[in-house]
Amino acid sequence: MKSRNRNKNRKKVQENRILAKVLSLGYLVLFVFAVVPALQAAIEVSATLSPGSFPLDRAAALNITATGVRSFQPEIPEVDGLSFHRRGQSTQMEFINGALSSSVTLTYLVQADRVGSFTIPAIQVSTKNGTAMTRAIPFEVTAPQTATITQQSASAGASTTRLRSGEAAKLAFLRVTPAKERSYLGEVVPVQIQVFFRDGIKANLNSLPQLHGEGYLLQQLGREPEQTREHVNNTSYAVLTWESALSGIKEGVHEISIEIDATLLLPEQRRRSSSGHSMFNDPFFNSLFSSYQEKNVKVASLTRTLTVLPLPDKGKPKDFSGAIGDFRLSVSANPVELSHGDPITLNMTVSGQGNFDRVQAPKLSTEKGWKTYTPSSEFLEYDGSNPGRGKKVFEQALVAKDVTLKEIPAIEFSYFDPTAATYKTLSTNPIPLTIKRAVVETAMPEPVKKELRDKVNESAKSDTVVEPPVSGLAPLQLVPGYMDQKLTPLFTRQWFQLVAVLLFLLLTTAVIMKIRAAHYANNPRLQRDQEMKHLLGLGMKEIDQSLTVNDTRGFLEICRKIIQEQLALVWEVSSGAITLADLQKRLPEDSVLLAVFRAADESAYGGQKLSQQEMKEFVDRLRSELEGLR
Amino acid sequence: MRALYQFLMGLCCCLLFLFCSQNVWADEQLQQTRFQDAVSAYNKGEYKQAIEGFEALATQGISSALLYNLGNSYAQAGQVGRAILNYERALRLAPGDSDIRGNLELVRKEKGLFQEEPSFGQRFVTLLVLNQWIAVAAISFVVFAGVLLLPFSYGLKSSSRYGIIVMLFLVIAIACSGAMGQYKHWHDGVVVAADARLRVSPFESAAFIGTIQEGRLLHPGKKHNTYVLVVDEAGRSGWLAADAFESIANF
Repeated sequence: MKSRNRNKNRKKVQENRILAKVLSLGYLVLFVFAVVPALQAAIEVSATLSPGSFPLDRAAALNITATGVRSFQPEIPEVDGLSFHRRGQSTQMEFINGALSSSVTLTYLVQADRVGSFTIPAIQVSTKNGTAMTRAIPFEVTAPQTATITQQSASAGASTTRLRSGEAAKLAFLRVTPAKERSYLGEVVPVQIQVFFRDGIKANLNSLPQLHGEGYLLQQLGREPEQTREHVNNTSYAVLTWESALSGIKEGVHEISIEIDATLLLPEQRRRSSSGHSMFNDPFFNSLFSSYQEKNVKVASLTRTLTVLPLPDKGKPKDFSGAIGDFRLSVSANPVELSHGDPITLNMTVSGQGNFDRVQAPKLSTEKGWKTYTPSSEFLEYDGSNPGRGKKVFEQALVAKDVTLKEIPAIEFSYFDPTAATYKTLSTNPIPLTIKRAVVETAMPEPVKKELRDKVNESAKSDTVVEPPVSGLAPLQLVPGYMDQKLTPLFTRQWFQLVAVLLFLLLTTAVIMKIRAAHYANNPRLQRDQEMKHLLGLGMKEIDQSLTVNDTRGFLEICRKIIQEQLALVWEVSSGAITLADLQKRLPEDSVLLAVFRAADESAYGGQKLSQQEMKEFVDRLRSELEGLR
Repeated sequence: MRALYQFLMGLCCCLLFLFCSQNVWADEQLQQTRFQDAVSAYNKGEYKQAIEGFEALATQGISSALLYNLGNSYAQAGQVGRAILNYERALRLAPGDSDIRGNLELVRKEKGLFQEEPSFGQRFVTLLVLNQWIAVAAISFVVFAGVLLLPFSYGLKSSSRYGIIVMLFLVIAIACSGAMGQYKHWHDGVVVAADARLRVSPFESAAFIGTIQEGRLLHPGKKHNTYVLVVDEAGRSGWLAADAFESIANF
């Protein structure tokens, strides 16, 4: 029986131990998720703009630096009138007092499209360690520098020079090559823009190529230029090439040119020694000891004369939307086997080269028997190297109103072909269809509240009912219902948060109690002490009772019982098995326990009596000695 | 004397209670009357008047019935975007209402707003609405805590007990996933303008990317001035004028 109880206790202790561990682990996980991220070190970020103020035809460099990270992602804000172009990334690593720290700098080119005061708002920087914000940067954009050739004094450090091809071809020049010189109004003409920098010159671009002249628009240059090396008149040049497109917006003959702002770093030639034979006149030493002079230049192309022709009126199709170029049309429909009333998704793709901004959705050759919906559109550019080349995908829903229809009619798209100088209409083949009659009418959803429908019908009898534009809608509800409902998630409501907090506190309390219980169950000494304390308390109450009635025999019996119980727990034996001989063997001679036990035996067999005073003395000594056993 | 004092106090309390309940009752009566007036206007085909009536009521408080009626009124007035918006709002309050769901599907079908076939994950997440998922998770958590803290001798075998704990833990995990899936779309909104156009950047001068149908569901991102960055069901993103978009959750 005892061993069964012991096993049971052991099992309970083990289970409590497992539970305590599970709960501790749970709290650890909670701590890790809730607290640790907050303890992580904050990163340092900064943003600088250089120069702090710049003219409209120039650009500034925005450097965003983050310290203590290896990579980061800034959220570049949208600012009206400003555009940001990423220019590169640099990483710096430092050892300071034996500690390694790294910083990453991202550089953006900032361009403005108008003069005025701007502010780059605080930029949010996200890293693995968290997010941080830079400070807002206010700056001014001034009017563009108008002088074409401005030679400033050498002390100024920088000057602006317009380098037009043919004038200073040795340093840098710009070449514009349109695909053709005569185009139609709205036609997209591919153009190649090449900037040549002579080898040995270091150059920084301060802007993208900009068009000067009326009558044409230059497409946005979104991509990085291609970098190559070429020989022109036996001189080697580094060449930057942009592929873009010009679009004529005004009929007539127009003169255009393209310019780009750059800063050239020109090597300053060392002054030759008077003798002319010094070893330092060697080109090697020239390159080693020479410094660089910074020079701001505008590299401009030769003026080109281009002609914009009007579109002919003859043969213009009715559905012509202004699309000019070379296009192809492909159409697919899904599903082609359907029940009456089911929608068909029509995918129409216009691909090729041309002014896709004017390409509109192709149309059915006849819409009789069809219900058509507004199409959605999406333009996909093939690649940046061939501007104006891509495809526009239209998605349109169709529903056949007539069950006898056997095909989707031909789909047509009209455009102007500038090569042939004629209007063309592309037409696809009709797409065969199988439309089955719908067995069940699905349009009318069955209302659940029949009572309300009856009420509505009654109400309808009294009012003049007008035929609704959307037929088949379930009727209105006539009872407003509980009018204090909320469109908020439960966890944002105060009562839910209160209940959650209370539950959490309750759970925490229960967990603490469980952990205490597990600790108690796991500690046999503590259990023994508790039991001894409990039994001693009970025994002392009985002693007090026997004292009040002055019952010596009863008093000594209780004392013996208490001694046996307490010593049984300490010696781990049964209380009934403890005799005077055991006490004599294991306790010192002067122990009060021994004296009390002996007196109890004598009283039981010899009828010895004690005075009230003696009994009280016994009680005090007995209590202190028994308490000392724990 | 004391008895008289207690009697007077009791009388005052009764009168106060009667006065308050009468006020509440009068308010409810007024709401009922306004609601019936709007219903009557709808039945007569005066949809604009019905919309005004329901919208005025909605400023005092909302219910699924009110939003549903508002959805019907907008649908009949030809304002598909606002009709769908109000049906979606009504569904968040009463996800099991077949009238709301039926009318929403009907209006979508009528206007060609066909939705793509949802994936398994999307179908799973839409089994319940956000608050239902939260409720399932919360109740499961309470039971989970109860079972975990129950004394071991409480009539349950150790293996069954751990089985129940694991099962409840799984239910909590699933409900939390469902709630997170739903919350991801909590701030979704609807295109409420007829000729909404997406732009490449949030400025009036920016180029158009394409058009977007009224009534389409959109997921909003960051805002800039009067534009909001949105992503549609097909994954297309662009800047949309803020007045052409209304969030389902922001009422």
